[in-house]
Formats: sequence, structure tokens, C-alpha cells
Amino acid sequence: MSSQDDVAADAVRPQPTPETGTLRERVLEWADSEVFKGAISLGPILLLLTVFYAVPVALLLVYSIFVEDPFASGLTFEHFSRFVDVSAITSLQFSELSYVRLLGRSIGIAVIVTVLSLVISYPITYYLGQHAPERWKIALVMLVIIPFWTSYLIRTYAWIPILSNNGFINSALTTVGLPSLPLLNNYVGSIIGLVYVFVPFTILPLYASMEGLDSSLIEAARDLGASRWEAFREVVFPLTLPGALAGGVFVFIKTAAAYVTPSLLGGTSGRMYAQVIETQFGTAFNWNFGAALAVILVVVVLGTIWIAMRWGIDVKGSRGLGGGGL
Amino acid sequence: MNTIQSPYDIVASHSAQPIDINTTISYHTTVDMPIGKQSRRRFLTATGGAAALGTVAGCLGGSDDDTVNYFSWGAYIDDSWIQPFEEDTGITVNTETYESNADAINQIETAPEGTYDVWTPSAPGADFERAYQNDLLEPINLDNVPGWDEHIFEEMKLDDFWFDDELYAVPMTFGFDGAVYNHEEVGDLGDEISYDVLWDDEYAGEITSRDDAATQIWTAAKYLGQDPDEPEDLDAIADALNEHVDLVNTYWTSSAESIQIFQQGEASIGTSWDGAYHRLAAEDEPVSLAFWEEGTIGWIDSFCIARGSENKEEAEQFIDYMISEVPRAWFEGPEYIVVSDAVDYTDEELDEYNLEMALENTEFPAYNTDDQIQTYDEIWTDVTV
Repeated sequence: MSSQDDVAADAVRPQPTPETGTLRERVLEWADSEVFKGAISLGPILLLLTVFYAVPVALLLVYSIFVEDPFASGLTFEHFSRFVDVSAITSLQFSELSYVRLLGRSIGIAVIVTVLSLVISYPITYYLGQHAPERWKIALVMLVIIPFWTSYLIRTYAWIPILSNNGFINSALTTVGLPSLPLLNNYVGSIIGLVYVFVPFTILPLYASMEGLDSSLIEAARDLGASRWEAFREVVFPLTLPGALAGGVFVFIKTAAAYVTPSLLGGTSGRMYAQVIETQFGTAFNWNFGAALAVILVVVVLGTIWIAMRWGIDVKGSRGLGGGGL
Repeated sequence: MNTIQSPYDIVASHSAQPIDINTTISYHTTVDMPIGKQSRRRFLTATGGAAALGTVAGCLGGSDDDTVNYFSWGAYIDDSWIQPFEEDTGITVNTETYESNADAINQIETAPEGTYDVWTPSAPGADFERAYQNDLLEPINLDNVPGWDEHIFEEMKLDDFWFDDELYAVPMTFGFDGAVYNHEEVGDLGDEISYDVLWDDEYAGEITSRDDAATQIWTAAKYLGQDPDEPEDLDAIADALNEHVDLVNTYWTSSAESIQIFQQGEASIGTSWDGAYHRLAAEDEPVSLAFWEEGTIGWIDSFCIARGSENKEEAEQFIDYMISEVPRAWFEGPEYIVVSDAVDYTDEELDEYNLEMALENTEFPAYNTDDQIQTYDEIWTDVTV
């Protein structure tokens, strides 16, 4: 490490005593100190994160615990209790817990989208990482990235004429005499749109894992009598799990808070939690309740990921691959 | 193509950029400097600094020169009616767009006073009342707006624009949340329809209505025969909305979205703004427009002056110009009804826009208190989840 080199250099360099050091020497010494270097290199990013990330998140927390204007009105937990209506729980009227139901649905959709994204990503990245000819690899990976050159909004809009009642899929179905399928303005539309947008985010980290996977391990497993499925289950899956988890966690977080896709494709049954947060800030002018809803989302999503990560590590452990982390 | 048409609103509102005086300033500051290799850094610094200063000045309103800071919906901002005003009066109009009344209110509340002069909330209505109560409006001096007496439709001079004998809004455009239906799918239903159709099993899965708590509760109250502004039985309204949601294909939040829903065949009947109907009809979609028997919700977008305006007289001059000099161009642009006789509507247009009937048949929902908004929002969230 360079810090060790610096320490060694400092030991060799004659140390000026505070009495004899001129101002210039003291300034130079200070400029050479670890504290100063640390502040210079870390400072800007710390400042950036504080101003644009920590402060807004802290403000969200602050808003969520005041009746109205922060510090100008009383402290309260009414916004959180509005989310979890205790009287509805005690009277066993669980259907009255509409915000909880909505959050449950959003988390459910996020889980489905994450799993589907991984299921789609595995064969693609397996081919890319293990079998694709070297000279085509870059081009194939580019194909995954190219959609990002177009706006997320436009790509989501593009699904409307594909999924709608008069759209490509349903026109094709009715032409051959099949009944049309309701694909747009319900949760199916949300899920299709979200999987489409987020699949690249599972492909890229999983591809990195697949590329690093030693193909002789798969050959060894096959030589020792493992079927293709067993080889995948015992070798490929555990060894690529870090990539899958990295991509999966990212997709899960983004999907649980999705706003644009469910607004455009989800209709009523595909409505998601972030849309209700938006309503609180926009039409309902209740920033405090909106902030409380956002805080709850952050806590629930982080909690879900924490549980999933623990579960993920256990999966590795049960395969005898834990600890080493490979 | 249909799909290109749908996002039009969003694209349009972004494309209307504020008029940029900053580039001019930075050009003049740097034009005398030698353009050599060494001076490039100084050049860039000076340009950046001047641009930054210009931006700050622009944000603060730049009240030294004659300017009006006009803050509006994208559809109401266009050079074809703003440029002539600038040329005639020498007043510079800086423009900025917003996407919803709530968006505008939030911005005016948080921006420094004097950032905006003229803005155009929907008034009367809950958001206009909120703007007044949160002290976001300045009274308008009618002496500077002669067009009010000369041109504005009498039907549109509502008492709701006045607080304590002072005028706070001048109406500009008008429309309503009418009934739109695909006459090829559901047949000819005439030009007055009952809200019953929104609860009719016959149209299950083909209905669309607006995703807005206050509108839905107002509509359900009308359907049940309750007072829409003071509904007495909210449980019955919640039950009715729960029945309605089962028949709905999807709800819409914007004009563009409702257009797309009809174009894509997702819905064949429902509520929509008259502006959306005119756009659909212009594309030869088989749609018809009708009023609701029980009462149709109307809206008016109005000119208001923002709190702390430092260019109040110029703002009034601009408002007068917009209702007196250019309504024709302006009506032909966004195609909303402009409530000024200076538009000089032709007979065909009066017929097409059904102007007389529209002015007669619309109602403006009363202001909802914060408690009401919260209650309505809870009912609506519960229905749609």
C-alpha cells in the first residue's frame, strides 16, 4: 500500500521541530500529511453524498415524524399508524389495511420480476460466458447495453402498441382465431415492462460471474456422472450466486419502488406503492404522510434484502461452499 | 403513428425552453478577449462566470429590465403568441413549464419570491383555493386589464375568482370532463348520458375514468343522488366505487393517456376531457362526445399573479394581451376553448365545440378541506388497491 511507503519516507526525512520550522515548511508538512490527503481525496465525494443523499434522506425522516411543517408543528407517529391501522388489525379486518396490501403487492411484483429476470439471464449469460466465440462476445454484450441508449420512458411507451387490445400480439391472436389476452393495464403489463427494463441489470453482473467460471469444473462434474441439471445445481449456480445476488438485489430495489412502468402499463390491478407516494406529494399535499410511506418502503426493502442475503448465504452453506466464499 | 401521438404532451411540455438571455451576456463579456491558447482557460472561466451570473439574474426575475416571468402548462407557451408581445412592448417574457397544479404550487411555495409573475392554475378549484390560502397570489388590478370587460365571456366571470372584493384570477381556457364513447362499439348514445353507464355491466372491462380521488367521489355522489360537494354517505360512495372499479379497464391521469386508451381499444366508453375528444376526432377515431345528465365537471385555467411579483404591471399587461390580442392564434394552438370573444369563433366552431351547451352544463366542484382530501384519498386508495 502507498500509505506504508509514505510512512517509510516520513521516517527517513528529517523531521523539523515546531520551533525551528518556518511557515513554509509547516504548510508543506501539513500538505503532505495523511489527514490532508485524505480530506482532499475523500472530501468532495463525502460532500456530494452528504448534500445530495444524506440530507434529503434525513429530511424525509424528519418530515415523516412531524404533524405538518418540520419543527414548526408537533411530533407525531400518526403517519405511521395511518399506514398500519391498529384498529383494523385488532378487529381482524385485514382487508382494510389498504397501504399494507399495496406494499405487499409491490414487493410481490418485485420478487416475480427479480426471479423472471434471473431465469432469463441464466441461459443468456451461460452462453455468453462459456460458449460464445471470443470475437463475438463484445458485440453480444453491446446488444444488451444498446437499449440504454434510448430513454426508459420511450421504451416503456413502446410496449403499449405491443400489448394493447388492438396491439400486435392480440391482433395476431385474433387473426388466427384465438381469444385476445388482457396484457395491458393490469399487473401482467407491469411485470412484462419491468422485466424488459431490468433484465440487463441481472445479465451484466451474472455475465461477469459466468466468465470467471472455470469450465473444467463443469466438465469434471459431468465426468463424475452429474446430469446437466445436477451440474448446474451443484456447480454453476453456487459459483455464480454472487453475480446473481448482486443483480437480483439491484433489480429488487428498483422494482419495489417502480413508478413509471406501472403508471403506463399497470392500470388498476398493476398499481404499485410508489404511485401512492407520488399522490401524497402531488394531489393530496400531504408531504408528511408521503415521507412516512417512503421511509416504510426503504425499511421494508432493506429488511427483505437482509433476510434474502442471509438465506442466500445459507444456500451456499448447505452446498458445502460457505465460508470460503470462492 | 398512434404511439408517437400519445407521449406528445410530455415531450411538448419539455421542449418549451425558457428564453435564454444568458448566452448573449456571456458572448459580450468575452468577445474582446484574445483567443489564444493561453487565454482559453480565462475565456472559459469568464464565459462560465457570466453564464452563472446570467442564470442567477434570470432566476431572480431580472427586474431591472422589463420582463415577465411566465410559468404555465407547456401547451400555453408558444412563440407564435409570446413573440409578438415582446416585439410590441419591448418586454421580455421568460417562460417555464409545469405539469400539474400541485407541481406549480409546490414550486411557487419553495422558490424565492418574485421568481414568477404570471402563472395559470386551474381556477376555480381546490388548487386555486389552496394557492390563495397559502398566500401565493397577488390581487389583479382590472384597470390594467381592459380586456376583462371587453372580451371575457360573462358566464365565465365567476364569483369564485374574488376574495374580499379583490380579483385573483382571469379565466383563459375552459373545458370539461365529459363522456366519450366509441360509437362503433357501443352505438349512438346521444349527447347526454347518465353516469349509470359507468356502473353498467354491459360495458364491463371497457370503461375508463379519471384517476383522481376528488373527481371519483364527486361522480359517485352524483350517481347515487347525493350532494357532490357535501356527500352525506361516504360508505355508500365507497361501495359504489368498489363496484365501478370491477368494470373499469383502466384509469387515466392525463389527456394523453386517455387518448391512448381509446386509440388502443382498451376502453370504449368513459370520462375524458373534451380536449382529448377533439384530438381523437381529429385523427378520425370513431368517438363521440356527450355531457353527463347529472352534471359535468368543468375546469377553467386562469391567469393569476404569483406572490411577490416584482413586475406586476407588466404581468397585467401580458394578461390583457393574452385575452384581447391573440386569443385566435391561441385557440388554434392547444385547441381548448378560449373564453374570450376576441377569438371570433366561426359558426362551425361554435357547433363543433358545442359552446353554448358546454357553458350551460358544467359545474365546478367546491373546495375540499385537507381533512376531506385525506378521507377521499383513503377511500380511493382502498378502492384501487
